[in-house]
Amino acid sequence: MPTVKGHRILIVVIAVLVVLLIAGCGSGTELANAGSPTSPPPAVDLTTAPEEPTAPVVGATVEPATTVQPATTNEPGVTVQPVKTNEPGVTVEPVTTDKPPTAPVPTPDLTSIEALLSGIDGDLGDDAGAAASEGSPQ
Amino acid sequence: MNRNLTRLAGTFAGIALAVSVAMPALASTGPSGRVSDRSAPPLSAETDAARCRTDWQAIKEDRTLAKVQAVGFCEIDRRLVTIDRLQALVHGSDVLTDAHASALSRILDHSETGLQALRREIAADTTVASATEDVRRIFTDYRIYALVTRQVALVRADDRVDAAVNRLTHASDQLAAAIARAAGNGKDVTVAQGHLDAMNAAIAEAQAEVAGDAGAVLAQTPATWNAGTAKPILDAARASITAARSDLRTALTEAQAVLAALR
Repeated sequence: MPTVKGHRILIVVIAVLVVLLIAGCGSGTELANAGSPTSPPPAVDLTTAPEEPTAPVVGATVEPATTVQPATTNEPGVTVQPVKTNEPGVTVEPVTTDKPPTAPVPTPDLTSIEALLSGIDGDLGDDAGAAASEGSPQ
Repeated sequence: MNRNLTRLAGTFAGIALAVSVAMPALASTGPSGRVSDRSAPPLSAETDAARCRTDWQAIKEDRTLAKVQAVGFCEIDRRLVTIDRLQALVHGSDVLTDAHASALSRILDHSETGLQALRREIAADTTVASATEDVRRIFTDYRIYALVTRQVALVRADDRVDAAVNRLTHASDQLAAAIARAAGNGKDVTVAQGHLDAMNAAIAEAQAEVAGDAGAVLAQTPATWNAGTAKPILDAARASITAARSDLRTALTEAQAVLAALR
């Protein structure tokens, strides 16, 4: 009897560790991709909004990660929030930010150029000091 | 059986724990984990000429085979340390082009194997005269400091100039787009455009300053150094890089002026 109990405990421990392992890998990947310029945008992506009106039909089976959760409280004929901005003829949010007065001026990466100039200074310093170390066979 | 199962479960649990701890750390290292471009200075007390001063002084007082050999070993060893550091700079560089990195690696590898062979020859010398001749070759056949170290430094600087030119050119494109947008909005962009023109002129001058320099520097050898033709070429490359750096600074200042004028 104690051995059976022991097996059960071991199985539970292993199961917990497997879950931890999977969770650890997942969070690590997220961390690694967080700073990447090619990392996917967050779940609230306006470019995917037009596809979401079909989600309320699914109702409570909608996955938690999607942004259409409020649809579970909506009546079948009522559209969810993102749909209102995607009606025919109505532009999506990013387009409205192209208004001339609020357009941000792109700021080039001048910091990295400063770093290159400092690197050139270092190289020139190495060059200046090198010949003195040659010495002479005399 | 139960004991085996327990051992197996314990092993698996240990592996699972180790992997779950290690995976996030492994996943977080990637492109950002790049080797620093400046891993080690090529020169230090360990590689400076002063390191062998005592051995040279000993020769002046009493020129024996052992003392000449000691000088040779010291001079070769400090050069090998320098070569090792230069190789680290070349291999860990994110500014050198592949072609330049390969060319510098060839020079360094050739120097390293040659000096190691020469060290063995000095150890095998049986007379003061032959050992003295071999010690002289450490200088004349390799020119690690007067030539090779300078080649690495100048080519790196040259490639940095090119990298800065590329980034400034990209910045210039962005600024031109910003000026066009501002003009479309009715803003007077005369001042900004003037700074952008000055920026582009400075970029072009910097690029022209160093054109062909890296190839000329890499083509030099200990033989051309001994003939007196290498040093003027290296000095000219240094002057070009210094001028290009000044142009790049001007371009950077003009870029900041464009941004200020658009605000």
